[in-house]
Amino acid sequence: MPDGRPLWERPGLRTVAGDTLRPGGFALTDRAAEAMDMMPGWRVLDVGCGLGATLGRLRARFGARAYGVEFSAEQIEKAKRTGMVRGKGDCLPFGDGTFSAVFCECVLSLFADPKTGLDEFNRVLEAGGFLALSDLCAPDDDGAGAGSCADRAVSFARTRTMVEEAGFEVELVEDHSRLLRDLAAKLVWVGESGCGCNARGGLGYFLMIARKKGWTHV
Amino acid sequence: MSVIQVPEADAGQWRCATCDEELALRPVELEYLDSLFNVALPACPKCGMVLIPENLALGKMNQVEHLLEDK
Repeated sequence: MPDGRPLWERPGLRTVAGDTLRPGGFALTDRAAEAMDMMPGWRVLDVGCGLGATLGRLRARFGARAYGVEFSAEQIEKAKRTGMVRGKGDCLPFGDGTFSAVFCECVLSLFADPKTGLDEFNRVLEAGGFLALSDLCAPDDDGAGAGSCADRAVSFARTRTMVEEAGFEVELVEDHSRLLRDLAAKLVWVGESGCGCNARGGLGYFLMIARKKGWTHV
Repeated sequence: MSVIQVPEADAGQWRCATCDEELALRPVELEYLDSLFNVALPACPKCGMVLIPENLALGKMNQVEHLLEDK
């Protein structure tokens, strides 16, 4: 009988992706933190933090004071980490200008309304704060419906426009589609071939670093 | 890199034709295009020759190749 749970709650994904539950593991987390010159003591929020792997990584490797928001009570229970709170990414339980950086890794495409989510990311960031966004992208905007992250993925151009309209300036964009293909292939090896990662042709994966407007260069 | 276990990779009663040793599962690195996978496969403990069972070659391995070729 097919496993009806979403991919991120199935054991097959954890087997091949570890606790990060996303393409590339920590590679893009580290890349983003290094690209923004993350300093010890920064307050950082990971939206859709899953099992909290990114929190542990940013604390241990970069000295960040990292917090996470996760909607799934099951993931929070499994994670057993400090600094995680249950909540929705488009209604963050934090005050304005709280964080120096917000991470959203392989999650934005699952939002019912990504625009509202990006507005929230902007609100909780201080002026000049960084957004590290990694996600799937599609060759067109025909998705954006219900289903897996792959079914819902929109074009990179549309995501970039939404990010800029939410008050960010895009500083870096990188194509990491190979990481998505690698993960999809590993899922085939463990028998999760019916998952979303390769269910829609032409999908890609990107990393974007953007910065909240309202800061001055020195 | 963690080792991927696949049920199709069963050593069964296979023996190495050259060494006459029973095959045993061991981690094998499979490289295709730019991707590398560490999969447990039956191999000869003496000469290292690896057996890829037919149902694995025609099944998951074929699927992975098509996926990486983006077909």
